Amino acid sequence: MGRTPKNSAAGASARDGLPDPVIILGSPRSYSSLVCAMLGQHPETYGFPELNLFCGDTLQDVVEGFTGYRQVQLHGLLRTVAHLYSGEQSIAAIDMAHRWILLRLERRVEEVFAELQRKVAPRHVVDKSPLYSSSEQNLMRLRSRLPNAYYLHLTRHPRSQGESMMNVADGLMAIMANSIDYQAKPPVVDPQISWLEIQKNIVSFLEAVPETRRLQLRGEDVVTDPDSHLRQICAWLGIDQSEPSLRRMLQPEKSPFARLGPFGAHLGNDIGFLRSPALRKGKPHMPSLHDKLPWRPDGAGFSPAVVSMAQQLGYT
Amino acid sequence: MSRGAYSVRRVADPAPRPGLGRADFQRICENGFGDGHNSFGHSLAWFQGKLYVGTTRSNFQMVKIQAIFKNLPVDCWPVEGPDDPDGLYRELDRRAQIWCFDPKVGEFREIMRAPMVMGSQGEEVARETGHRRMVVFQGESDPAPALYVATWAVGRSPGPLLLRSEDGESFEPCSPYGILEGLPITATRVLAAFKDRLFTSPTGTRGHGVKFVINVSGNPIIYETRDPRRGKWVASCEPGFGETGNAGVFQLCSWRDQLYAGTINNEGFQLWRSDCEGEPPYQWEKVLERGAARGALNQAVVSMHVFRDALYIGTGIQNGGYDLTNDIGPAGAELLRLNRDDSWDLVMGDSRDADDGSHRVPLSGFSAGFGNLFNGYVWSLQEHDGWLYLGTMDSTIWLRYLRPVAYTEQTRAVVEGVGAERIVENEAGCDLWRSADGENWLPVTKVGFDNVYNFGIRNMVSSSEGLFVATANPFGPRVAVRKGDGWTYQDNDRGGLEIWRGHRPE
Repeated sequence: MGRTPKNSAAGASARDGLPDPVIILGSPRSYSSLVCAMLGQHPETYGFPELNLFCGDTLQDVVEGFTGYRQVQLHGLLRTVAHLYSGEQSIAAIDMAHRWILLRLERRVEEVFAELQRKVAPRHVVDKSPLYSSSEQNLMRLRSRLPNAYYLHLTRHPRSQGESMMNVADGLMAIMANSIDYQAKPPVVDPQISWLEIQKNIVSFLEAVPETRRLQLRGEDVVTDPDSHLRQICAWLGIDQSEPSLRRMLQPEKSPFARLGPFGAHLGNDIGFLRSPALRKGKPHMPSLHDKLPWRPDGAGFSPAVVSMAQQLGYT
Repeated sequence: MSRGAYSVRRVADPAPRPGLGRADFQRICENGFGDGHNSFGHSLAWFQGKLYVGTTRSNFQMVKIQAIFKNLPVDCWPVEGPDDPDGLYRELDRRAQIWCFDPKVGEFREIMRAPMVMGSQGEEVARETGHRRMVVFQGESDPAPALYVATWAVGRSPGPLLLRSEDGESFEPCSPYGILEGLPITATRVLAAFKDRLFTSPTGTRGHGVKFVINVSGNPIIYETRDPRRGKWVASCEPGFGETGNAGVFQLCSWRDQLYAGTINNEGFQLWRSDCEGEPPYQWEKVLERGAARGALNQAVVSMHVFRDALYIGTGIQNGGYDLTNDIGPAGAELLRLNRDDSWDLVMGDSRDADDGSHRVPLSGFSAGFGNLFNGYVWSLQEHDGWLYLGTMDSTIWLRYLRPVAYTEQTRAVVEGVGAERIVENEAGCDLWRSADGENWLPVTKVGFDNVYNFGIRNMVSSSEGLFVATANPFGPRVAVRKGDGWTYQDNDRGGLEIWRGHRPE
């Protein structure tokens, strides 16, 4: 099949005038699917599932990186294209989305992102791809390609985040993130390793982002008191804070991506969220940073670096 | 927060309303209204809150006796029928019909059947065997919009007519035989309203010096009238727009204050346009030629439709994608798009270099025929509820009847490797596709609404009561089936045109 020509200059100029995007950074299983869907219900925003676009320079780079068991990381883009171009997420629409991707393989990812932005303009897009935070290179790519983006740093306590990671297919998510303590004999799957690496990446990255363009929130606080925290986010973004808008944001289950997708593109968001997308208000248990970790057979706890980072992020 | 050039604070859902899927379509007519000789839903119109269907009868029985198909390598002709022209007149009821569907009642009713008239050889013949085009139009002497129907005359009939109805119940001729008096034509496939005028162009020719007379006109001229009830047709262009390769005008479509005309041309179709102002014949401007740089494989403009302020052009090669007379094809059809600035896009088709040196790739990601060689025409285009629907003619079912010698070497290898009957069972039947933006396409059906004999979607009409789809299904009333080492004919309860209604209650 023929390809469309590279046209980065055209893509760059085409982005001009588009509403600034909102990028949610964080570890996996840190409320990002829920919060992205909530933000996306605001009438001035549109919440995408995990696009993972900025994991390469061109769409071809991205697609080639998501082969084998990683092909699920294309599900969010497939579902987004299917929905925005056909209003449905069916097998036929996903097939159409594959063709859409094939025709754009040589395009730079910011051009592809801008095309999706234009589809939902004048809304601000919200992208919550956790893969961005796992790589300094991805974050640097975000900064250079989306210089005016807003960054919401969403955190979760490293213990509950780790437990959540280990609850998915016996720690498969942690294994996929190479979150393994090779110093232990035998090596141990330990999600605190990836948690720390991701938080260090984000904190370091955000140091260079203007203060007005970054905001850090604990995910536990958002679900405990969504009204005031959503209002805080709206104020930060400069979008409507009226009661009707806030009420809409309390219904993340109304997102078109808040359910399992069709065969071949069933994910694109956290599996737990897809199965149960409604907001369940309440105060999550806030565990200790100092007890033994249930996933460590050797009885080890958090490393001093993890404790320090967690405290820096507001956990005790 | 910066909104750049955008200032609207609240906007509608950016995703399109879902289009009609296969499950949204119900069949409201089957088996040619119970008569398998009703082959094509050849014309369709929405008039006074009802659907009107004009049939053409016994198409494959007619094709069977045409000279160019005499040597077609088939073991058995697909449908039972006479072996000579006399048999057509002697054995078949060729009287075309008009049926009406009232959605309030939910049933079809036969409104009209062509009368028998004295034929050219001193015997009674059906006045018309087909109703090839319908249009709702109000001419100068029409008190209200009327339904006009262009007929297809059998060869021995006095000629085609333009029928007119004010109430949808009574249809009376409003033209002399031949419609355009004095011309030896059998039909017109186009009727188009534009600037208070009705435009048409002759299609089939009788006794004229052309090889194949169903689609080709010896008189490739567009005619117009302000009052079809009173005739007064005048030529609005010179023959073939002054180019001898234009053998006929296949389609007319109005867009942006211009009338567009698509031709059939063995070097590739041409597209012309005129504002039709001043005194006829008008100045016409050529917009596209050589089949938009594809040449003969885009032999004709088969369909045109305006969608989202662009003109969509469906192409094809006559005789189902393989013109045996002129040895063109086989090839799948294409979908092109003409934009406001006169640039054109290859929406669905084969990548190539355009005349300006630019390389064109299909915006849909589909090669010609939606990737299917047998999709020989983009036969119909229709907007409905924000979506563009596209119907094809799919000749896959011919694999059941053709001998392998009929194929190219490459096709033969595929057919022999997979098995002709397996391909037919899984792939045969016309396609219906839809797109919300004209570029990204989803199938509604690729197998003729689960009937391999529905080999084409001939017409569609959009209405407040849904999208109505008329198929071409000439495989009735008796179809050839294998029996042992030979063939036999048996009744075909899936033969004859079908009408499908796409509708999703709110």
